[in-house]
Amino acid sequence: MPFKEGIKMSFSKVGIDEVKPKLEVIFSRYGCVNKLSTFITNKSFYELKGKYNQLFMLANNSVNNDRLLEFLSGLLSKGFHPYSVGTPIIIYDRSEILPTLAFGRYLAEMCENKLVISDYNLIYKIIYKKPIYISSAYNYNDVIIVDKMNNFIAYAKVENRKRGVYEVIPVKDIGWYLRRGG
Amino acid sequence: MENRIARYLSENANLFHISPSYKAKRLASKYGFLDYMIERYLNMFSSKEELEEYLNSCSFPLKKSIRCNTLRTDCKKLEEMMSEKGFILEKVKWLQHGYIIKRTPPMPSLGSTLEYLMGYYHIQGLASMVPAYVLNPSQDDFVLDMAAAPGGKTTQVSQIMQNKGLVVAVEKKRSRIRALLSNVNRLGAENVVLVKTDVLNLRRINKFQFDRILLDAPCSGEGLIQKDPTRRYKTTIDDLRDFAYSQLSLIEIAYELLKEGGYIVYSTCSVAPEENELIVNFAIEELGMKTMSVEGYPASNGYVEYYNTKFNIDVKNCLRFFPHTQGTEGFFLCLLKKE
Repeated sequence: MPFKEGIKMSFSKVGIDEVKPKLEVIFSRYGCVNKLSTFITNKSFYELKGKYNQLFMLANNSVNNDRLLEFLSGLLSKGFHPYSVGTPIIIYDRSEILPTLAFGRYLAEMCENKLVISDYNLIYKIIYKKPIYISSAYNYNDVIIVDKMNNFIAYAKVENRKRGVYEVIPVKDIGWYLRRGG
Repeated sequence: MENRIARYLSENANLFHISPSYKAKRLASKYGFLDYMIERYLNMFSSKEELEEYLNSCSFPLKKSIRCNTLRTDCKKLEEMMSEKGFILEKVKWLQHGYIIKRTPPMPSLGSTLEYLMGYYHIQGLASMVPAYVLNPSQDDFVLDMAAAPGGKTTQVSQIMQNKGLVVAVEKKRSRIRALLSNVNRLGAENVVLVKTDVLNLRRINKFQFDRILLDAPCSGEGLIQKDPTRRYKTTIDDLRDFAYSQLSLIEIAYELLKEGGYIVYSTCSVAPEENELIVNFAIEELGMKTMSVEGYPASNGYVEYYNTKFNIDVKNCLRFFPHTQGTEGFFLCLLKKE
């Protein structure tokens, strides 16, 4: 979801009440909604609105918040806004909410809808955006793919193709850093 | 303010009027450089032998090097994982997280391993790892990175700060800030605010001042001839003057945005004194800054005298890296304090 030139953008700090429903969508999708309350504790959230919107997260105990707000309000008062603050975690518009690659690391730690792939040849297929086929029974439609050390590799969809054969289709994978990241 | 820079450059105009000697022309033709560049090198190096060593070294590729990213992994673990893939890493003694790649397998390339994509390391020149260490930010600091893309130094500053404090990374070009954001996210730097603007605009934020500033200034890249041979003949002396003008403007802005008692690291990937000592001399003489001595790196000192120009004696505290002596990219840096 690239931002487009000419779209008026706005930036603001957002409260937990606004953040929670959006994150609930993601946490439910990957099976970790029970971890949401703990996750949002001691964090500040910022929203950048444009053609698409982005939500950013910053740990409260890592930075002098008064000084940060002084800097951000100074920036906003002169008509500028940050391009990114801390970790971008979701991108969303009216129709969908997508987790970012940077958020994948957090979700891999917390969520249950996870597919562990030990074979690095299969992982390389995933990071080249190729589907893989597995035989294990899977009840999830949306999974987080991790390696055997629980490193985040990709978000993926799982579809039952034939009896006992499941297609795992990468939705967004860390190969993006190579293909598009620059 | 611009008048001050224009006056300073005009006082040092002789640095931008180079008349190449016959000797310089001959060497320029032999090594494929512009002759004004060689004339300057004759003033920089102690002997013709050293100059030829330098010119020869520009034809050999640099050793590949990486910075282990402790925000994402343990360096011993990284050594083992890379070894399993056929990469042999050798720790660089004078860089806390720096490694030279001694051997690479046919596949995958250094920039496409899973470990790279997972942010365990960043491909970075050895000398270009030094500025962040010399800046030495604490975990409470607000740090400004004035020309941040593609983010090697920004993410290294985050690493040193262990994701605490704040790094404000400024980049004005849209195409470059995308790469910066990608690297910040890949490497797990979570204390970074990215701002897409000309750093000039930060002046407009009333009174906000930073504890430390990294100014890795846009430059001619005259230290990266091994990576990009076109730099042997790309930059004219007029271009060099334009770079100096922009670098002087940037250090003046950095000075304004820095707290009293705060530090700036000024660096470039250029060996040109016109982009280095000349700029630091301006910070000392015109802005009243003080250079600080830096220990622990196998570097040469800044030039106090160059092409009939005497700089402030304190530019000797600056560090220079050359491919023929240190085996790194050509690089310059200086630690400055606002008193």
